[in-house]
Amino acid sequence: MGIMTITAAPSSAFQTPKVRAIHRDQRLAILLLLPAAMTIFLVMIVPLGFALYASLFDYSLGQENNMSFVFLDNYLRFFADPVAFRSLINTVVFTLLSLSLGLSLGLGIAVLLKRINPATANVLRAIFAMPLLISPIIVGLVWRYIYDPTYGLAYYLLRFVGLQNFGGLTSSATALLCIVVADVWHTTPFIILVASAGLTMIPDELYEAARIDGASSFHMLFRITIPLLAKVLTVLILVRGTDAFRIFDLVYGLTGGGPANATTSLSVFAYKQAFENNKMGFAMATSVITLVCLVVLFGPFMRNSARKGKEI
Amino acid sequence: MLKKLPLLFPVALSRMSSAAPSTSSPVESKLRRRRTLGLTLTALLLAWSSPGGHAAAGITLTVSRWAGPQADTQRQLLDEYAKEAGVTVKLDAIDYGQLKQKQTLNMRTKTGEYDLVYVPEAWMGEYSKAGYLTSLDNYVTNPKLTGDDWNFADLAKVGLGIYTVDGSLLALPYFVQTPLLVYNQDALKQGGFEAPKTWADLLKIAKYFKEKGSGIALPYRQGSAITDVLAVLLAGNGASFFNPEGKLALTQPAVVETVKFMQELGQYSLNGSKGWHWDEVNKALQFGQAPMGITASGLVKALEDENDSNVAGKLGYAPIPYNKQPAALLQSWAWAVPADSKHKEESFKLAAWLTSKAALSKMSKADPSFISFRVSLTSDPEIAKKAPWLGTANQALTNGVTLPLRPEAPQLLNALATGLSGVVTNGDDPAKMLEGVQTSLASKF
Amino acid sequence: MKPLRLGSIATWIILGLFTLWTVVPIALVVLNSFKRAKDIFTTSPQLWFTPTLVNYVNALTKANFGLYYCNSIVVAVVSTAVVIGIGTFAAYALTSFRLIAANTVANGFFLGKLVPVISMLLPLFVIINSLGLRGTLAGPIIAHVALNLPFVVWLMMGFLRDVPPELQQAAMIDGCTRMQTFWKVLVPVILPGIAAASVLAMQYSWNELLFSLQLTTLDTYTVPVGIAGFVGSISVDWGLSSAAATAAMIPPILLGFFVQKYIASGTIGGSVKG
Repeated sequence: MGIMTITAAPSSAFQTPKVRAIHRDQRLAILLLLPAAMTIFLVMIVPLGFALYASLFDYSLGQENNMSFVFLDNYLRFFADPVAFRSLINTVVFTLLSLSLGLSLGLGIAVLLKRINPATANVLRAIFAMPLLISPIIVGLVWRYIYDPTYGLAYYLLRFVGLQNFGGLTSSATALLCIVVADVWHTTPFIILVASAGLTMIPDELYEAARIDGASSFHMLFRITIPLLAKVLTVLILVRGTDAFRIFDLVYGLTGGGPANATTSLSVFAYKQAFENNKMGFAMATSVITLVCLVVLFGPFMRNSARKGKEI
Repeated sequence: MLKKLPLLFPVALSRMSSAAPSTSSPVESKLRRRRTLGLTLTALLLAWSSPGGHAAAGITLTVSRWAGPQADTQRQLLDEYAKEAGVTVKLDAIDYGQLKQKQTLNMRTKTGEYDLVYVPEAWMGEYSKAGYLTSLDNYVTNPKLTGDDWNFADLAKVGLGIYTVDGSLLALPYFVQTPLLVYNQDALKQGGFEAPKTWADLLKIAKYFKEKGSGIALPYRQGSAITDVLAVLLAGNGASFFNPEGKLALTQPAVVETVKFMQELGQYSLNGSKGWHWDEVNKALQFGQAPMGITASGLVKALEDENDSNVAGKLGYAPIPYNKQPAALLQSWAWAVPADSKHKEESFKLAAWLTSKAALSKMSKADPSFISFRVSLTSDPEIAKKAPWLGTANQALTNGVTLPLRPEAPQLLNALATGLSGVVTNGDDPAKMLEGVQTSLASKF
Repeated sequence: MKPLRLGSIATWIILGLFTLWTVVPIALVVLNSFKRAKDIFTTSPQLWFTPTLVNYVNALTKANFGLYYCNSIVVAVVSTAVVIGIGTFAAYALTSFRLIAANTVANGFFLGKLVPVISMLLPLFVIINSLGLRGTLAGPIIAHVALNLPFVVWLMMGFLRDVPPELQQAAMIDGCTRMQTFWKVLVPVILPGIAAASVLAMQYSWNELLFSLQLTTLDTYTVPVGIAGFVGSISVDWGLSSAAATAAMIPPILLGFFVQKYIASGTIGGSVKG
C-alpha cells in the first residue's frame, strides 16, 4: 500500500490513513537510522565529549586520577607554541596540495577510463586500486626506501638527470612535497573508484545528445560530467580533505615530523604530546582545535550535502 | 545479558518491515528472511567469539615486550622455562610503537592481562607514579622464588639504581644498549688511521672519507637517536643538560661546543644520514656503504652475521670518541610485575629465572648484541668471542650516564631533537638553538 | 562514443604512465619479499638477483600468520557487511524520508568522522573490556564499523541523491512499500556505489592497525599487527615485512578485481524514460 494512492484525503478530525502512513514511514526511517546513529554516538560522540572535557586538564594517559584543572591553559599554550603553529601551517599546505593533486589526477584518470573499452578499463581500474589496498605501514616503508638518497629508486632516477642533490626527505624545503607525492600515490585509487562509480551513473544518452549537438570533449567534461558529479565530488572533497588533514602514519613513518618540524602535521604533533611528552590534556586540546579547523574548512561542503530530504 | 542485545535488532527489523500488509512476492519474503538470518548470524558470531572462561590447566603467564629478533630468541628461552616450571608462558611481542599504549591501557584498566612487562628506564617514572608496578623488595630476598644460586649482588648497581623508585625496587634490569662507533678496519688502515679516540681524530677521519665520496653514517633524523648521540657526546665533554644545582643549563659553553661538533661532523656524513635512524645507519654499515658509523649496540649482531652481512669479520668496535673524558650512554630494559597481575609470585619466578646467570648467558650466546646487567658475564670469554663489541659495551655499565629521567624530560628531549635536526640540516646556529630551547623549557626544571 | 585518434593516443600514453607509476612501488615490495637483505640494500636497483623463499618461511613460522589471516578475514568481512548494511539503511532514511532532524543527524555523522582517534581508544577499550569482549574479534569489528560508518553513510547519501526521485515515485505508485522500493529499485541502481563502498570499507578494515592491536590479545591479532611486528622501530626486517605485506595484499586485490564489474555496471542509463 503506497502513500501516493491516496489523493483525496478526507478532512476529518481523526487520523487519516495518510497520516498513519506517514507515521509508519517515520518509524521505519528511525528504525533504519538507529543502529548507525547509536554506534556513532557511543563510539565517537561520547569520546569526543570526553576529549573536550579532558582538554581542560593537565594529565598523562593512565593518570586520570591526578588530573589538574587548567581551564583554557592548554589552548593558550597551543597558540603560543611556534611548533604548534608550524604544524598547523604544514597541515593546511599538505591538505591543499594533496587534495588538489589527487582530485585532478583521480578525476582525470576516471574520465579517461570511461573512454576506452570496458574490458580493459576494468582491468586497469583494478590495477589502479592496488595502492589503496596496501597497509599504510608498508606504504610508509616503501616510500622511505624509494626516497633514500643511498638506496632509493627515486635518487637512482634523479642521478640520470643530474638532480642527485635534490633535498628529498632531508631538506626542510622539499620534505613536505615528497610526502604529498607518496600520499597522492596512496589515495588516488580511492578517488578513481568513487568517481568511476559516480560516472557510470551518468546516462550515456546525455553524452550522445551532446555529441550530436557538436560538443567537444572538453565541453562535455565541464558541462556534463562535473556538474552531474557535483554531489559525488562533494563527498570526495569531504572525505579526502578530512583524511588529508589528519594525516599521521605516512608522515611519522617517512620523516618522524622532521627535518626540524618541517613536516609535522597536527596529528603528529598531538601524538607526540600524548605519548612522548605525556601531556594528554594538551594533546586533546590539539585534537579539538583540529576538529574546529576541519569544521570551519569543510563545513560549507557539508551543508550542501545535507539539504533537507526531498519528500518522495 | 548485554550479549543478547544484538539479537533483538534483526527481530525488530523483520517485524517492522512486515508491518505493512504485504503484497510481497515470494522473492520479497525470501530476501527478508535471508536478511534476518544474516543479521542473526552476525550477532551470534559476535557473542560466540568472546572467550569462554576456559579453565586453563595450570597457570598461564603472559609476557609483554616489543617484537624483533631479540623476541624470537627469547621465545625459545621461555619455552624452556615453561617446560621446566610446568607453566604455560605466552609471549605477546608487538610493534614497539604500540607497546606503551597497550601496557598502559591494560594496567590502568586492571585487566590482569599481563604478568610480566618489559619496561625501559624512560617509562619508569610514569609507571611508578601511576602505581602500575608491584614492589619486588620482598621477592628478591626469597630464595624459594629466586632459586639458591641467583646471586642478586651480581646485578650491576647502576641498573638496580635506575629501577629503584622511592627506595623500592620495581623491576629487574635485563638488557643494556649503548651507542657505539663502528668502523671498517681495512678502510681505516688504508687511510693510515687508528681507531679514533677524540673528537679531533673523528673529524679528521670523517672528512677523509667524505672527500673520497662516502662519509660517516650518523643517525641524524629528527627523533630519539640524535638526542642519544648528543647525550653521550655531552658526557664525553664533561657536561650535562643540567648544572650542578639541577637546573636546566643548555647555554653552558660545553654544551654549545658539543652541538657545534655535531654540526661539523654532520657535514662529513654519508648521504642520507640526515634522515636516518639507528636502523638505517646499521644497514649502511652492514652492506658496506659506510666505512664508519655510530650505531646502537642492540643492532650490531646483524653486522657479524655471515649470511646477511657484506662485511662480517671486517669491522672494529670502539667507544664513542670523547673530548674530555671517556663516556657512554646507558639505555636499558627491565622486567616488571604489574600490580594487576593474577600470578605475581609466579611471574617474579620467571623474571628471576630470566635474569639468572645461566639464562642470560644463553641469551647472549644466541643473540650476541644482547648485553645484560650481570657483572660476571661482562668478561665471559665465550660471549666475547661472538661479540667483539663486548668490551666497548661494558663501558656503559661502568661509567655510563642515562638520559634525564625527570618527568618533564621527554619534552626537553623532543625540543632538542627538533633543534638538532635544524642545526644539522639547515645549518641553524647552535648557540641560538640552545638558547631557544633553554628559554622555553627552563621553567619546568 | 568514438574518440578522436589523437585523443586516443594521448589517453593510452597517460594511462600507461599512470599504470607504471602505480605499479612500481608495489613491484618493489613484491620483489623485496623474494630478496635477501643484501640484495635489497644496494645502491642501484637490482633486477637480477638470486630469489629466496626464506622470508615467506620466516613469516609463517615467526609469527602465527595463518591465524592472523583468518582473523583478518572474519573481521573484514563481518565489519564490512555490517557497516554497508546499517550505513545504507541510514543513508536511505536520511535521504528519502522527510525526517525532521535529518540535517542534524547527517551532520552528526560528519562530526563522528572528525573525532580524534586517540580520544576514541581509551573509552572504547573500557567499554569493550566491561562487556567482556576484550580479546575477541568483537572489539576490532565494532571499532571498524564505527570508523567506516561516517564515510559509508555519506557516500551512500551522495549516490542516493543522484538517483532521480521519479524512480522511487514510480515504484511506489506501482504499489511497493518503502523497503520493497529500496531492495527492488534503489539497490540495483546504486550497486556501483555499494560495490565501491564495500571495497573501500573492506580495505580499511583489512589494514587497520591501532584498534586491531589494542583491543585484542594473542589469539585475535590480525595481519597488520603481524606486519607491524616485523617493522620495529629499532630495526626493520625488510625481507620479512615485504613478504608479509605481499601476502596481505592478495585478498583485497582479489576482491578489487572481482568487484570491478559492479562498479562499472551502470543500470541507470535507460531506466528513466523521456
